[in-house]
Amino acid sequence: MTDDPEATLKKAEEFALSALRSDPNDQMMRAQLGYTLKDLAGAYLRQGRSARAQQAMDDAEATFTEVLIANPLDASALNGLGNLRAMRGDPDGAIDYYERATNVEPEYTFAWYDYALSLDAKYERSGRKDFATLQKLAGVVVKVLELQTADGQIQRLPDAALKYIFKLKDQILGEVERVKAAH
Amino acid sequence: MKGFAAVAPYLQNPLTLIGFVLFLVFGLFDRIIAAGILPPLTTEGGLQVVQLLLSYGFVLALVPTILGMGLQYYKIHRDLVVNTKVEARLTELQAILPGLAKSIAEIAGAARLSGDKLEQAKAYLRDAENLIGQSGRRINAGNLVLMAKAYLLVGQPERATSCFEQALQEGPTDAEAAEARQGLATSYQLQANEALRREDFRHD
Repeated sequence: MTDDPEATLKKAEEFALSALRSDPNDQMMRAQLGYTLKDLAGAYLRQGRSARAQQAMDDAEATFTEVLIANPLDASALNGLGNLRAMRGDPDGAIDYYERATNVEPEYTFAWYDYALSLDAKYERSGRKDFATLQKLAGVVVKVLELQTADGQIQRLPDAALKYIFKLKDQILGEVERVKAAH
Repeated sequence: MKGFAAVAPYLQNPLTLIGFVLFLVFGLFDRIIAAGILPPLTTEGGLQVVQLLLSYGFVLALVPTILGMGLQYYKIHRDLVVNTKVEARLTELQAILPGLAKSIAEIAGAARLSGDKLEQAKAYLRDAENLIGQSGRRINAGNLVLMAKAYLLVGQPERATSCFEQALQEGPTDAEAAEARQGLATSYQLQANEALRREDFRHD
């Protein structure tokens, strides 16, 4: 069990680059490298190393863009770009990418979950007044929970994420009902 | 004795060891001759000694060579037997884990197993581990890569990392080495994800 995520991510980056040298057309590995760089950026941000974080985010963005050049409908790269927009404090940009990712792959739970987080951020930013975003958020939260309880092999969210979604559901659905009643 | 202990680690190579033993034996002969213990040989006696040396020297060289080859054959055979058994376990595992045939990147994107299937897969992996542990034999790179992929599917990235790393040490083919490198990128990424989640949990 690693206690140094940064060092582990560096190793992941090193092996992903090595794998890509052997097979430069492996777009799944390239998308994975994008996520490794994005996670490295997150680790740098936590440590307050913003210049390195920005560099890692730029590298991740370039990597995901390369994947999209090879396949404009790569849901994983679209979701990755959405994550980067969210990290840069741009929920609208993130939402646009998540919409595209979930349109391409409607059972992509992680993209739906990230979509919910960005809609929540946008709703908060509006001072909890943007009803259209609230309604959209309610729909996305329900979709995440639907996917989580569906039969068959789907991606399972980590417990903490699931807990957060349940909390959000209770908050949001109640709020939608209240706003509807007020209208 | 202290001096020998310092030199001993350098004698692990079989060639060095053979040379060292020959050095000791002929050194002893040299001492015996120098001490004059042996009476001078007659012409006939000398001829017999030379003949003995030639015929038994040949046998002496042949015996360790044949024994060494036999030992190596036995080791390779045991490795093969264990690898065949491990492979059989992994083939059975493949029947319940169709995802095992997929590429590493697909495995990373796939769902983790849950419920009965997870328990079944873990049981097969335990069987394979026991076989390897009990035999103490070397597992080939192909089997190690398969085991590592199974570990990824049952959500044990640390074990997957260890198998992929071992696979790179076991003379993999180009395809196996490429898969092991992809696998290491994935298993390290998954380990980092776990660590980041733990950090998030601590921060919450």
